[in-house]
Amino acid sequence: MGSYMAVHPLHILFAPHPHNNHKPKLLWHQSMIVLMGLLVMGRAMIDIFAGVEPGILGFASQIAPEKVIEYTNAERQSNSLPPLKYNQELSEAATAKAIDMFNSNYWAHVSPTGTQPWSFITKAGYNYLHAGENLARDFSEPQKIVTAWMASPTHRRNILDSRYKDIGIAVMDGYINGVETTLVVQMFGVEQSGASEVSSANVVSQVSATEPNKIYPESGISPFDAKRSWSLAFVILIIIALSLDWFIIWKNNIVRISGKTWAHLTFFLALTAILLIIRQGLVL
Amino acid sequence: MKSKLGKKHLDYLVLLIAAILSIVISLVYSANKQIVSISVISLAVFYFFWGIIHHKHEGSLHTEVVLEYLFYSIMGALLVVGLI
Repeated sequence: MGSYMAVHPLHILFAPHPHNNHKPKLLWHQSMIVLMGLLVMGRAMIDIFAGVEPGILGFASQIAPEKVIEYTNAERQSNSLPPLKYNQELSEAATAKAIDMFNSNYWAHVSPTGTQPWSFITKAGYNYLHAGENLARDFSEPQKIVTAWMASPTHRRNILDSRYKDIGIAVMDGYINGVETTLVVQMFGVEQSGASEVSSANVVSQVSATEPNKIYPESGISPFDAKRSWSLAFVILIIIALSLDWFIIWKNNIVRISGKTWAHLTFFLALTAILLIIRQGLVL
Repeated sequence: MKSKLGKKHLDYLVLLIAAILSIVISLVYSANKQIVSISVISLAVFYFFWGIIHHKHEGSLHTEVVLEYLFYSIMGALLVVGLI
């Protein structure tokens, strides 16, 4: 009669053992397919929950528009360019664009109906010779927005374009696909006459698409954070299984047909770093 | 023998450089979802082919191993790309 020792299911799942053919069950091909399914389903659940219960998951922040202009001009000045002047019409165009994005549920330079950013600028009464638009969402600080724009070649080109003389900005809280978000729309331009109407930089207003003048606190859980945590949970489980696998196989000098655990660890550790690096805020 | 060992080390060095490059790109363009997505998908595709080439160098390329790299690459890409 052979001896039988019960093996803990966690051992089978996370560590190589004769019962799992010397490979943690979590790392089996079948398990990977199950993990992929759970990963995608979990994310879909978060998105569905955010849509069904708007406001529970979301992100709203208080971005001071004048600070965005200040940091934008600081970047221009550090590149020996003259600062941009606040323009009320461009700000109205930026506000109209933000309202349109919330009302039509999109996040893009061109609306689903094909409306170009320039249409908002013209409608606001700004007769432009050259114009540009930068978009950002879900940032918590104005400095981070400008830093992100400067890191993107196309946005950087707008900020450092010597042709532009005027700037307008809108910061607006609202819901896109049921998720609370803060949009920042930055419009650049130079008028055809060359003489733009200049207003005071201190009268920039922050508006809300849902409740005007409401000051939004930073929400506790954003859908992005929830989805990132979900991804991190999976990658941590895989890294634990890979580490145990490497250690036990090395310690017991087991020979098997398998990929390189060190390589898998390098790959998944790199992805963990990327998951931790990527920011909530997006620029477009 | 020595050359085989050197090739193995070179393979690992190439993988490490690719991983670091992907991290640096994500760090620099962290708010640009298109660039981060391209970087992660490129790393995943690279990793799949890296696995095949590495095991071919070692003479240990089996269908089981190819599938392992395929599933890990898809899983890795899904972990990040679906998020952004």
